Amino acid sequence: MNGIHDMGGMHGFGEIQYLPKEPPFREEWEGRMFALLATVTGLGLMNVEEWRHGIERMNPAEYLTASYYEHWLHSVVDLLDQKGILSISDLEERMALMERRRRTKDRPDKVQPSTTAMLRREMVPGALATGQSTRADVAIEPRFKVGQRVRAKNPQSLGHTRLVRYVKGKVGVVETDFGVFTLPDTMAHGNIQTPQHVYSIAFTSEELWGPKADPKNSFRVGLWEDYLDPVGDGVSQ
Amino acid sequence: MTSHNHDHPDHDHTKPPSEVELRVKALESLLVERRFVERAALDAVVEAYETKIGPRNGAAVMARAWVDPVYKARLLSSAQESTAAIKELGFSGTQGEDIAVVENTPTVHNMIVCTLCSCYPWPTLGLPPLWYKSAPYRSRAVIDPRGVLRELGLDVPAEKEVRVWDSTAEVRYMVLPERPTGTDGWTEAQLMELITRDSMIGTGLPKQPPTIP
Repeated sequence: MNGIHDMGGMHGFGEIQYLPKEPPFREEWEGRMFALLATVTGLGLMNVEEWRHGIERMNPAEYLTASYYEHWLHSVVDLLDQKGILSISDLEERMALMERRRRTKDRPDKVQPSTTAMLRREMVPGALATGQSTRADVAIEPRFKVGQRVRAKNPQSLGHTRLVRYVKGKVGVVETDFGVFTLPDTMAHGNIQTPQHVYSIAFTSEELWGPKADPKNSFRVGLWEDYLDPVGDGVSQ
Repeated sequence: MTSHNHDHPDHDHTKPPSEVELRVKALESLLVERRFVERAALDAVVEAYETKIGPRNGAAVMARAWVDPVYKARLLSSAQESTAAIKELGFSGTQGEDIAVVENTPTVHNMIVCTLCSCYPWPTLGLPPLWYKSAPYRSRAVIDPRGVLRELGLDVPAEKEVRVWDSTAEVRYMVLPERPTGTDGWTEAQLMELITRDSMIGTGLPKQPPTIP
């Protein structure tokens, strides 16, 4: 979708607010949110592309004013509700309960859980060190070869995509074939893999930004095969 | 610390928690209660990124590449080979399932961005800084890379190519900076001290060794 998140090439956001040093989490809740996302994606309650799309669907005004981990929270809450795992009304009820307890200084009884949790502390180091690769272990012939000229398609999909707006319709050259990966566009909508090659495409400055752009800049964008059309049938000069 | 201490004085807020804070607490409370996760597991995730996973890891990779040409060649071959080479030093996993290393040379300066959000090689650089995730950097890194670098204090000579890598695919990028002159014979441990986070994003250069007049 042509969302506010797809920012490459926009003007008007002002200076970079650079800090030489900052903690990984500025506030405790940010760390908790981070760990909760690791939990829901790690357990497969949602996939990363669904979650990304949940952020992309935010209202642009809300997206721009909310902080980074608020985006995460928004998408996780929405998706858990949509998937019937945890309803927003249950969440709001719990918020109200916690707020009442805080006001009355009432401490909840410590309940010893009768079953073990799905994600336990001893599983964390292994899970983080492994990650969740989106490589697909299938042999597929690549449609494009290194050195070939390709044009990025110009779809106006309402769904999730990693085809950034600033390369749509632009011609580049296949520089690297990264191998076969699942397709975000279908993973976000029904967990459908659609495995295919992903390439690093080299674009010139003039192609992306016009004749006045500095020709000594160049760009590399990772694009899935479905995002690309061949240009002519030759190899670039 | 093996579990999150909920009786810690900090939790007796004198001011009420913000709406967002309360929402996250409620979410945690329900996911814990429904046995998806135990609190100690959430603590372990936070601790990992606060204490173990950060740019020192990436600096160790780059220092190795500076002293070992075979290792460097592996880093600069395929993403799968570089990921394996990085894993040998103990760094792998979430948001670094594939890490490609791109080399700065006398003619090319690389810089990394994620215009769509915040993709970044967590196992080697840790979590991305705020400015990297922010709209000004994401929007302008592609349309005005030299201006962005200048704003961050790095003036790349006009004759040098600036190559921008947008992390749209599931391959994370990391810059191998040029080894500073005057570091012949330095050990990996000494070299590591020169390698900053920003030099591996490409928005900075390594520290220079002290010069003896």
